[in-house]
Amino acid sequence: MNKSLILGSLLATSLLSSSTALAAMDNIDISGFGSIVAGQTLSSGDVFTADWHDVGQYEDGLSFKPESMLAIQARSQLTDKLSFTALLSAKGTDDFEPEFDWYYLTYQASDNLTLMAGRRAIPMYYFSEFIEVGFAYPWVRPPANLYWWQIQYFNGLHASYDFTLGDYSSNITAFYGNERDDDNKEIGVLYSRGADRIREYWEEITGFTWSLSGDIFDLRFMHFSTATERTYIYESLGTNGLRDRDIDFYGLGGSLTLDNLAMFFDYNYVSSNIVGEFSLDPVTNMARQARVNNDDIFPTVLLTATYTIGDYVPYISYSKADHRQRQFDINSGNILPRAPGQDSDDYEQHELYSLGIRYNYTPNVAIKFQFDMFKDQGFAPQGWNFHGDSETITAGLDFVF
Amino acid sequence: MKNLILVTSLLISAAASAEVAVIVHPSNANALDKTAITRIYTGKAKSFPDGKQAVPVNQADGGTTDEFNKSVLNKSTSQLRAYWSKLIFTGKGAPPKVVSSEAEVIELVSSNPNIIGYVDSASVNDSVKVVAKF
Repeated sequence: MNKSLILGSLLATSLLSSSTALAAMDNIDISGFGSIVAGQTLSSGDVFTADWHDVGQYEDGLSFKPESMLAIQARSQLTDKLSFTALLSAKGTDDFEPEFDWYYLTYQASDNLTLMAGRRAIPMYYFSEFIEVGFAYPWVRPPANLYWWQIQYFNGLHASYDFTLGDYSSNITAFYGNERDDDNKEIGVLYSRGADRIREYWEEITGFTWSLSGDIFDLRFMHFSTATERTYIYESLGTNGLRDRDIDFYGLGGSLTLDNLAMFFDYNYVSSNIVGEFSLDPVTNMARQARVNNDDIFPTVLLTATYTIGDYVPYISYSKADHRQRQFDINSGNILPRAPGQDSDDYEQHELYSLGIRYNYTPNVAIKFQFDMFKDQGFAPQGWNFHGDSETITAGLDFVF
Repeated sequence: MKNLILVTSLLISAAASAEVAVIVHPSNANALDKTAITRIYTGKAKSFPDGKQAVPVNQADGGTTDEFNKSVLNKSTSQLRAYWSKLIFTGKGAPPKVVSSEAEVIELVSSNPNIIGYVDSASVNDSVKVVAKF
């Protein structure tokens, strides 16, 4: 048995047993969630990235590793206004090595104002803040190709204000923080440019979300910006590549429920401006600045419809992710000619069609079967279609406790 | 002795009515419709229309609770669980406390003006005030 798996389960067990003793004290709540998921692609050689951030990928042999996971949350009420929450999670794609996904202090300043400080998910896309809680959404996972950002959590401050707008409930949350990842897994596996290690820093993450909800609908608008710095570390060459990029995120998403039919949509527009890209000369150790500046945009869209028939919820989903880039000469500001054969600015592009069914087995357990068809439309001459098409089946069991 | 009488009358009348009564302290003069009750029970409203703090209590899954979830909140128990999971695991809320019996709901409601609860309408006595029936 895998050593990490033993360590992971020992840690989880000791956490559970010591927390059971602690839970006897009234002010500690233990809860958690988990997923047992198995899947495979249907054709030899096809790879489907179901989890971009943690790089959970299915290949043509059945595997439980890409998406199975267990998470335990402990919440301790320290005073009547102050609480501390921590979540320890163990993911199959990381060999079930437990790590703290989040830990933060919550201060209930008033009935309407909540302040939080610590490590939490970036309130990015509609499902970002609870992306790991399979039980909370219809599919096996929120459409994979949209949740493709390499940074998901950050350390910072949140201020959340609840209010009403007429008949509707509303909330505005502002946040600020940063994240420094010295060994980014997603870039390291999928976009490494041959580097041994990627350092991905997102600084000055500043933004807000505004949400509005009524009886049959809810709407969420998001905007944040961050100054990022990526270092491509080539250990054997003793040189690094650096890229400084300011990124702006915008999103509008929501849901509409009409009797048994529920629809979700999420449109996100991300634009980034490379402030500087250069490599270090291995001999002189001086930066050699690149001559180009890139303007990238990443528009993505999600549309899902679910229909509830008693305990069964069939669903159908479409998501498209796009990456387009224009290059400019850094000195003149002139737009540079496109690569040979490239009609548009398309770089990476893919569409995902999903069909599945969720069965509410008990109020705590949901069973899901899903078929995913991934169409890679990346610009082939420059190798942007590196994901490749795939057809995948996954079956999962999600639970909460 | 009071509890024994209550439990016995509950057992006798349980079959007679599947109606759910939403109850508050007798001094609570708020008028509450389905929307207002739903807002309180889904954590979207933390106070009654008159501004006083509202503390909802649930019962365990089954019987009265399933009926309440279906007729008032318009969600199945699974849907409600998914809704609360989203809030619990983003640190944005916690579901109402669960108490173990109809008797306990009545006990709490009758002794605290901030509490709102639901019981089988046959369990209602004059220590509580009924704001709505479903």
